[in-house]
Amino acid sequence: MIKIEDVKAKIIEGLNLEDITTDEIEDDMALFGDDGLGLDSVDAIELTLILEKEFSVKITNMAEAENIFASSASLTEYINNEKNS
Amino acid sequence: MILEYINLDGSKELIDLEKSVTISPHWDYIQTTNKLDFIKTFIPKYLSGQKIVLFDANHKQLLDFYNNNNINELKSIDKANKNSKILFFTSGSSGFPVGAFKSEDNLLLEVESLKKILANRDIKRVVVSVPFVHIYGILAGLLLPIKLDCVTLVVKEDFLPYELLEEALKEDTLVITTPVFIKAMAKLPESKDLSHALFVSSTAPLALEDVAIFEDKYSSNIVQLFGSTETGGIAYKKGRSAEWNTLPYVKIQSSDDKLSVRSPFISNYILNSEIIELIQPYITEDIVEIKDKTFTLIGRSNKLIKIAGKRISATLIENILEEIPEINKAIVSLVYKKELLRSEQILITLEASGEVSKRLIKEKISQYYGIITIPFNLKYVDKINNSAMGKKVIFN
Repeated sequence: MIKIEDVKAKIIEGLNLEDITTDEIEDDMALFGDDGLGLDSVDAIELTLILEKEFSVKITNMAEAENIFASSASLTEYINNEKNS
Repeated sequence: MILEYINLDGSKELIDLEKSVTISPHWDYIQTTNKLDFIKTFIPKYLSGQKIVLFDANHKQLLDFYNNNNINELKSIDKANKNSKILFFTSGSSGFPVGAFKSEDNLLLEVESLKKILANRDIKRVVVSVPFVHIYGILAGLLLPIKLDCVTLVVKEDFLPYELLEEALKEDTLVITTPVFIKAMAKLPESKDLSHALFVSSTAPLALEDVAIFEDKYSSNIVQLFGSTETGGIAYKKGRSAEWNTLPYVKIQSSDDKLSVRSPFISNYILNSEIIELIQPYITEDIVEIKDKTFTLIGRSNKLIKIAGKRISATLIENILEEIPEINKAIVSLVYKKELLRSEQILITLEASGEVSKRLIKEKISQYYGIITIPFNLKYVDKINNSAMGKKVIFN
């Protein structure tokens, strides 16, 4: 079972968000767009690589990615579902 | 030319673009950030002879400028109008965007030049992962496919690395992309044979190491393009070469170690608070070592930072940030993170009376540069002093 804090830590490390801590990323905070963490399309590409490298989870299309990357909670849920399937 | 547009869910639409439309004699701004809407609007208008203004609709400063100044009524617009087809905007060295008028000859000769360097390749599909609002997307992503004739243009709003890989696997494919995708595909765990595909990359030079990993993994080739909005394309390099070769029709020389260019792709007129005629040679801010028709990039000559093809003035960003009441002084510097897809990052060092949110900083910067993806990190220090030479110095 992957913990949400571990996922947040990998996001911060992988995207080099040096000035943000895991506490500042709320579980349901939007990862993309100005109302949330403010990630963009290049970060989405980087996130797919981080997921594959760190959690052995593969994301192959953007339609799927939009839902999975909605928040750190949805991302963690997806990783755990994939690992259990 | 047929457009194959890939929807978010992976379904595809085939659209015939070659229809003529009624045009006006005035400059017409195409305001959309959606690629499908853009292509459906741009190509018929372009082919019908419409004069077109292009810039990022999210760029507030430019939008204000455009709304407050009628391009058609600018002083000296008659001179710039001669043969002009597209007015691009680019981030100028002062921070205020510069408009570059491109004539029919500028555009067609450059496309011809690109076609020459891709000679001997059988191209049936052109897959484009870049936005069309800038000159690279228009030239390589739209005008080149038109020139190649009988090709299918394949476009999606946003690709993920596996999606681009899947499209590149199809026969005789030319992929118009950026270093971000080349580096991302190089990091995928699986390798495929893409020997029948050719990748064109621009906006920033790729590290030789990234080119080597990509080419070994996919048995494919990369052509990199170098240039700017005002100059158009200047040079290209294939594979792992460190040297840039000048594009056909382009002549270069050194001017105090700076790259000096004579080329039919250079804009005849630019809009920089007023319309100015550009006299060739055009001297860039790139420090180079020239050998015959090739050159090696050494660096840049001023405090301009180039991120993803955009020129960012460190001094301007410092001035913008120092307008925020909590910020006393700011220093903007470039940090290179080789392991990230977006290797160039900005470090903003602040002497401030309190914490300033990244959102506020992003909003301030985007007023000058549009909503661009300038990745930055913040660092707070106790004191930033000025040296005797006026240079900012950090004290912790």
